[in-house]
Amino acid sequence: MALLEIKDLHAEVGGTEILKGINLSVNAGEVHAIMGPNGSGKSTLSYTLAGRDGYEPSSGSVLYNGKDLLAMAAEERACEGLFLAFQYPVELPGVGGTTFLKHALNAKRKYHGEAELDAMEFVKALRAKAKELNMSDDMLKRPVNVGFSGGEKKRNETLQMAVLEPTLAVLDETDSGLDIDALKIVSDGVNKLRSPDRAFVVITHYQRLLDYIVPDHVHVLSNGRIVKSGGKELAHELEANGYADYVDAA
Amino acid sequence: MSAMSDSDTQDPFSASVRADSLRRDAIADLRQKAAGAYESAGLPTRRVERWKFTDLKGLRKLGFAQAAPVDVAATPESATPESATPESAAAVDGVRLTLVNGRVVPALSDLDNLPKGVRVRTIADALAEGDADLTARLSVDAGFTDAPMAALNTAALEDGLLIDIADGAIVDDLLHLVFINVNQGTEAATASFPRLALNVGAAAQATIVESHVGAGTGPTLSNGVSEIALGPKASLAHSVLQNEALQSYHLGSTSLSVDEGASYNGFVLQLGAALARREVRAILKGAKAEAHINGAYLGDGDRVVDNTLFVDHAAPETVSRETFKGVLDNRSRGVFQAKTLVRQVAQKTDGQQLHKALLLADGAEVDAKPELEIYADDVACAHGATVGDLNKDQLFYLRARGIPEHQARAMLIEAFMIDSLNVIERAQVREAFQAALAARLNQIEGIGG
Repeated sequence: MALLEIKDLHAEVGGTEILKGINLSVNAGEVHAIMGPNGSGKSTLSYTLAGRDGYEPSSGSVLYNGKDLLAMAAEERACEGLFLAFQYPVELPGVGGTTFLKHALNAKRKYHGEAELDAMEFVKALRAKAKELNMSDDMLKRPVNVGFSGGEKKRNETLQMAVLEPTLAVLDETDSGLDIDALKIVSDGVNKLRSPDRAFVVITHYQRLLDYIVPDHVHVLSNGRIVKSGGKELAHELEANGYADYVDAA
Repeated sequence: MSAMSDSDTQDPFSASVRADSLRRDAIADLRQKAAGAYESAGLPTRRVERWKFTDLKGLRKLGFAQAAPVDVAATPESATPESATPESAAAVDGVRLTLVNGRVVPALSDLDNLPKGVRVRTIADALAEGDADLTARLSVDAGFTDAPMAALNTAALEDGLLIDIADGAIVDDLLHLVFINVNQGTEAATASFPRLALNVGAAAQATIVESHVGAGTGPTLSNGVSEIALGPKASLAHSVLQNEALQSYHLGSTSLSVDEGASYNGFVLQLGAALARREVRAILKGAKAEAHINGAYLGDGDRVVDNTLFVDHAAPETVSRETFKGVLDNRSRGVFQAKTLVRQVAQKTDGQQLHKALLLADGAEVDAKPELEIYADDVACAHGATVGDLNKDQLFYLRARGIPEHQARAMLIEAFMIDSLNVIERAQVREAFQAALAARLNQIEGIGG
């Protein structure tokens, strides 16, 4: 059984239907890229999966690990192992990076009936993860994302992902706002986290990211529907020819 | 007792004020003037501009009984400033001076262990000695005009602290003034009138922390007055924690006089009391004088928290900063009234006022009135006020990381407030205030974690 099974998902934002029947099946261990032009529904799909208020599924179903994902609150989805890497990570003035991540990890541990980590244990675990990713944990000493560069914000998302060890990671336009060096660092981090138990849904406008995070499957999203699926070569085709064919088709 | 007139039944203080005016002691003149000032104005009403948003109706209903002296002999000999300090006080290490119901308790104070350059006398001692200087040291209404509550303090004065920091003294040890208010078993509020007269000498530096706390056994009223003067190039860090019991009334009038090149760095964290009102009046009387009057407050239930400020820029190149943050839940109300006056002589003044409030419930209210009155033409002044709810993007970000909504809300509220505490320079004071805030947030149902 697939890790994520989306069937005929429709979703509305502010009363307007944006997703118009999404079908997608993602198995553990796979990386799926979802590509599409602006306004095709890419971010709506990621927010609907993550459970953001205002992104209302109107019909269809999403099974995650065999459970009804749409029936869960946002925090429950996260605790069940869904991780959304934000296109625009939010700044949290006054909330220290370490405190934030400790609360997040302990919320997940508590949800699964595990003992919460104390500050010392947490910092130890954090250092180990940062080292694995060749990332400095310095930015965790600062308030979350406050005054971070685009690259730092995305690195921070990657580090959070490493600490929270999701089963399904949805990367929403992770490449936006990144120069090539930052893109490489973030991609390396993501690649290190690839494992047979973990799946990635990589949402992007450009093929560039997929040179670094090489997908198993590529889907084209247009006007709220997946209009074509294929292997990684589909991304190159899109890069060469653009989305014009698919916008017309939809 | 003979029949009372209407004004007697409406004003719980008029009878005692009349008695105070007849007392013959070292400050008899002052008492008489203060009693007159109070009687002519009466208990403030909303018709008075500075009390526009806060009334003392509750106090009229409650009545009051002036606090009797605390029986020091009844204080166990083992009591030390450490053991007798309630948990709600700021957890700071310092030289402690404790006032219970406005009266200095030597057994709970480090009067014999003062840092070099610091002189402390009690007003009770000065009164007992008939010290004529006392009249020069204290004023009727601490320079406030039309301030009946300040005048009431003067009329009823029994005790308080006279603190002098010697010229040039650099005092590292912080002074911790602990004001404990205890109801003495009466249905009416036990009223106390704490007084502080503080002079910081030329080029002297000092740190003062105040903790205002209650024992929580019944209603209390604390109506305090502080007169603080900074000499040329003096520097004072003054952090006030108002963490009174929730059935108490806390009123305070603080007047500041800041001389040339001196810098006042004040912060108030208001967490407690049914009604808390703190009025600060600062005069920047020497060139390059600075006053930083910042604060944060938390309201829940039906509580009212009022911060009323007046800054008078009376010399060139003076600086004032007023940043307040408030969080209001349930049916609580926050008041921020700030007026900055820039006199014609005060060219190159830099004055900023900012009030930011978070309203967490439909029934909560904030009244913010920042005001600038400028007569000089070369100044940089700004004011602003914002009101909002918790940021939805931030809430979702926390929830998307697995943090339950109620905990996410508490984290964001704490973050909103804690940010403002960063202006407290001394780490141990800042951390103590952060801890007091976190403890208070945890008590609030619905938002606490």
